[in-house]
Amino acid sequence: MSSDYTKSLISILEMLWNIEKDLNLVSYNETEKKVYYIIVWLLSNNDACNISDVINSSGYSRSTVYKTIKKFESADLVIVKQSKGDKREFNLVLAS
Amino acid sequence: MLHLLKVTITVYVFSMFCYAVWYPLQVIDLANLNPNREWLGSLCYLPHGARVLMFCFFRYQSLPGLYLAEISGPSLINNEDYMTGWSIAAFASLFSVVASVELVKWTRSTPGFFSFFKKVNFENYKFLFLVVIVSSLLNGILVNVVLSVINWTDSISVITVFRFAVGDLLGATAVIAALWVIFKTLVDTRLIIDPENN
Repeated sequence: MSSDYTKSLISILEMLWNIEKDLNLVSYNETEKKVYYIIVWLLSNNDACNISDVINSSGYSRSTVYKTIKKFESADLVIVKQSKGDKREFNLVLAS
Repeated sequence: MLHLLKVTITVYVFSMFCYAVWYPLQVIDLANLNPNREWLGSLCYLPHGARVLMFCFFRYQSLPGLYLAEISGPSLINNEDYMTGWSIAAFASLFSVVASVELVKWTRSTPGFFSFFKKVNFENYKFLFLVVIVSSLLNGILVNVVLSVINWTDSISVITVFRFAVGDLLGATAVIAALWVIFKTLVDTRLIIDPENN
């Protein structure tokens, strides 16, 4: 059972969380943010990233990743390019 | 007793941190808001943010820590920048916060059911900002009245009262905004797990 002291500290964090929720300056949710971080991380480590890599690394379902990447694409955050080697595969590039 | 000790230490450290951040900014005077270096009152008084936040969340147990910070903060940083009688005026500053919180509580309670011991849920930050606004206005008036009585001054400068009120309002907002930015960074870097995704 948490003490009064801990409860007070948690209340402060809750208050800050409520500000964050209401302001919602970043319109992406946690899942979308994670997918974006994974794309950036894969690109910086492997110099290349395709949709299958993102699905494997994130653990999210294919449809979630596809939907998220579509959202990034329409927001001009990510560009989806067909792979030259395997026409079924799509590479992801960060839009500059 | 242990709770009071923990609260006092937390409140004191947080308030002194606010003094330590605020004072260099005041000396540098980046926006050149006080070119003649007169005693006018800061336009972004961060310690007021510490007063409001700590009293709202730790309630009456925060008062010893807050008063300690009120008297030792100015002495440790630069005592000459504060007027004579600040240690007494500090009571007025704290009273302005206490009165504002009780006022907000009173406006929300059913007639006949008001109690000093009831809590307001400050997790709803709108009440916190209401306390910031009311306490800033009260503090501007009360502190200047107390200082003018102690220093045997006949008149109170309206500009100083205005600067106190605006300074407290902006200072408290700056403290809350800074905490929000820190909190957001911690959530984004996964050092704090956000409550809706754990």
